Formats: sequence, C-alpha cells, structure tokens
Amino acid sequence: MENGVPYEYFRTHVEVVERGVYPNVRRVFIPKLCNHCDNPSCVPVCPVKATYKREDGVVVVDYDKCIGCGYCVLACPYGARYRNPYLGTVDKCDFCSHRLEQGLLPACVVNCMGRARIFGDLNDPESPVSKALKTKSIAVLKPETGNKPMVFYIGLEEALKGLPAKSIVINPKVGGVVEI
Amino acid sequence: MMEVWGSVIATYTFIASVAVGAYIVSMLSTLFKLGGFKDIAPLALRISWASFIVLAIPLLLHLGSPWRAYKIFTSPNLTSPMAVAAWLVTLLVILTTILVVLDNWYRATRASTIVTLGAIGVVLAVIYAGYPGVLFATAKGVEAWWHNQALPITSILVSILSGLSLTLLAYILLWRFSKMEVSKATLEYSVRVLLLLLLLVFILEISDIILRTYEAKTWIAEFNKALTGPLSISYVGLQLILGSVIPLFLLALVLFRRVAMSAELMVIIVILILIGSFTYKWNLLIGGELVAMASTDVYTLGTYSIHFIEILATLLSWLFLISLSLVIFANWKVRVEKSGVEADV
Repeated sequence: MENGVPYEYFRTHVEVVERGVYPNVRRVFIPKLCNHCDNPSCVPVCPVKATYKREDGVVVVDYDKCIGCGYCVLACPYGARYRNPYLGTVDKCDFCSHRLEQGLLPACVVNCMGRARIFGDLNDPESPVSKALKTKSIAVLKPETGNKPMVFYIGLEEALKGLPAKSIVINPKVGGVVEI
Repeated sequence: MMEVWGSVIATYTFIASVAVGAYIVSMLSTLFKLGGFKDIAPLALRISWASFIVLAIPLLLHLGSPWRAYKIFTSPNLTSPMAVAAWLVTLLVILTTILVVLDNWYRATRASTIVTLGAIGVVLAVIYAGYPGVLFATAKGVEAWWHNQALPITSILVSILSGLSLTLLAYILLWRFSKMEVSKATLEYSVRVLLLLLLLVFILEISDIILRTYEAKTWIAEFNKALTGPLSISYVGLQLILGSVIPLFLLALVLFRRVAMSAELMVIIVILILIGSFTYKWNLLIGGELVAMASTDVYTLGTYSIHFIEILATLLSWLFLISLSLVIFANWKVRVEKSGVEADV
C-alpha cells in the first residue's frame, strides 16, 4: 500500500455504476478521489491553515498542523476526505506528492492496468493530459458547486447518455450494492 | 464519508446555545430594563459563565489531535468560521468572567462598567449564536439539511429558549431546596416569553420541512427516510412532539388560565423544552451528516454512533462547573432574596 490508508478508509476508490435495464444496460467505472479543485471549498474553512493549495495546484494537508476537526471533510462536496483515526488528522489523496517530488507519477496512475488514468501538467500544452482534454469529450463531477474540479472524466457523459437515471452502484465504502 | 461531527459536537452546540441564551437572559434586565427576568438574571450569568468554560471539553474530546488545538490561536485562518468562532468564544469566556466577578463583588461601584461590557457581550453572543448558520452553510458536503437560510435566526431563538429554560430550572430547584417561594411574577413573565420563542422556533422548523418537501431536491428521499428511520424518535418523538408540541400546549393552558401556574408544572415544561432544544441540535448535526452521506457519497442511509463516554464527561463537567460557579460567586442568592428592594442597575 502506497500511503498506508487504514482499513475501510479510502484516498481513492472506484465505484461501479450499472445503469439501465437489459438489453439497454451499461456499466461504467467511476474512480473517486480528491478533485484538487481550482476553487477548493476545503481550504478556506480549515481553522489552522493546515490544508492549502500548492503552486502546482495540488491540494495538500499539513499533517503537523492539522488538528483533526473534520470541518474540511464536511466542506468537500466529493466526499474525498476522511479523518484518519491513527494519525489524528484528516487525510486525502495528494496525488502521491512524495512521489511527485521524486519525479514519479502517482501510484494509482502507475498501477492502473488499463492506463485509464492520465496525470500531468495542465499548463504544458504538450503534456498527455492537456492533449487528452483537447481531443476527448470530458466531464467533471458536480460542476454546480463552483469548486472548479481538476479531475476530468473522459467519455463519462457519453457512457451514461440515453439511459434511465436509476442506477445500481457497487460501492466499496458501504461494502456492497446500492440502488440509487 | 464517515460520520464526522456527530453526537459530541451536537452536545457542544447545545451547551453553546445554553451559554449564549443564559447570557442574553442575564443582560435583559440590566440593559433593556426587562424587570421580569430580574430575579433570575444573576443565576443566568453564572450558568452562562460555566457553560462557556465547559465548551472546551467536548471540542477537545472531538479533535483528532487535541494537543495541537492551540494552533487555532497561533496560526488562525480568518476565512474559517470555526477559527473566528474560537476567538469569539474565548472573548466571551473572558468577558463573562469579568462580568461575573463584577456582578458578585463590585455591582454597586462598577454599574456603568457592567452595562458597557454587558452590551458588548450581547453583540458577541448574538453573533456566536447565529454562527452555526454560517458554519454549516460553508460545509458544501452537507448541503441537504444545513443550507437553511433561517438557520442563524432559529439558532438564536433556540439559544434564548434553552438558556432561559435551564436558568428557570436551576432557579426553581434551588429555591425549592432552600424552602423559599419562587416568584410568581417571574414565572408568569417567563411563560409568555417561552411560549413566544417556542412558537417561533416551531413555525420556522415546520416551514423548513414544508419548503424542502415542495423543493423536492434530489436528496428529499433520504431526508424523509432519515426522519422516518434513524431520526424518527429524536426528531418526531423528542424534538417535535415532546420538546415542542406538548410544552406549547402546556404553556398555552397556563397562559389562558386553563391550568393553574405552579413551580412543578414549570419544571416539567422547561425540562421538555430542554429536551426539544437538545434534540434540535442533535437532529441538525447528525441528520445533516446522515442525509449528506446518503445523497452524495455512500448512497445509503446509515446509522450513527453515540459517544456516551465523551457526552457523559461533558455533561458531568458542565454540572460541576455550574455548581462551582454558584458556590464561588455566591452573592446571587443574597441579591435575589432582596431583589424586590435592591434597585436594578
């Protein structure tokens, strides 16, 4: 395990969403993680400035400052944060910033067998992520929040287009199948 | 998202509302010359002081790293309502400490200081009472229940309601144990104020439910499930029926002279109101989180855990501090006994 995340807690998890009725049915995989928003709602609420956005755009938690109040957990509309009972602080995906500092890619990007995760610098027009955003249909989660999320989903809208809203979700956070 | 604030913070918000409410009640006769609360004002100030001080306990018990709590003062983030509230409550602790000392030993010689500090404190207390509305509104992950425009107003009304109720409960019990007659005028005045406040809170709560039902946003199914499921006892049973409808009915009976006013009946009424106020905070905190989890993250309405030990430790410390305040600042009894003679500030 890259970040020593405790059992039943997640920095990132993949939801399996099954939508539609046979024969018009489709299954999509939606990885959920910190969206490293351009306008993050978790940063202004932190009472001790323990969570902040770095110059490179990564939203991080300073574990030496965090008091573990949980306000940022409730302020995040993506449910991306949790209170780590062992650290006594809040924890979340930081794009494996310890790896980024060594010039490595985040662990989830490296380990994805289908190379479905693309990571890179949006300011660099030649980066794989910039090229993907230019050429492919993308969507973000909850654009109505005004958080300007920086995690983009390729082909998500197309995958769910024309299917009834009712879905079945296999969610590791509840350890089972949920109908929504 | 797992449950984050839950039962300990619900207890904290209840004690905070009592602290603010008792403070406002203590200042009504001093600042606004509302004679009806003159008898209970000294008691209210002491209850408020003890309640503000005990607030640190549930907060520290809730934090993941309580030993770093001082950072809220050394490196505060001024855009955070929580950091602002920490400063606000610290100011209120200092202010009520000064006021309770002045009230106890220097009331005759420092009357104008009491009025000035008391007025500043009322402004701070009202802001502090209303701030949960801001605190909750900034929690974007808990949009469903906490984004209520009336929340700051309801919070202030619930604060005065719970502060007045606890003060009346202490007043009646202390007087009964001392074999003294409680002031009928104070009780009659309190009945009118309690009825008005309770009615306003009840109307705001019911309006909120009706509005949410009409809006029928995506989370309304989870909202209804929470009210009829895990919160059915605490919301419908305790907050609405036992804590609102029954005391409203009893207060109306007393006001319209259908039932004779008695100290025993008032004890029952204020206990019911305190149950209603506590469950109001409980349902707001826990219900808000349950509905948010169900509608945004885990897609199913879960259950919640009650942290009995933390809650018990908080409540016992609170009782101890209230008792201690009545012993240390003991002049309240002499003042109330001769309140008919002594001129108010």
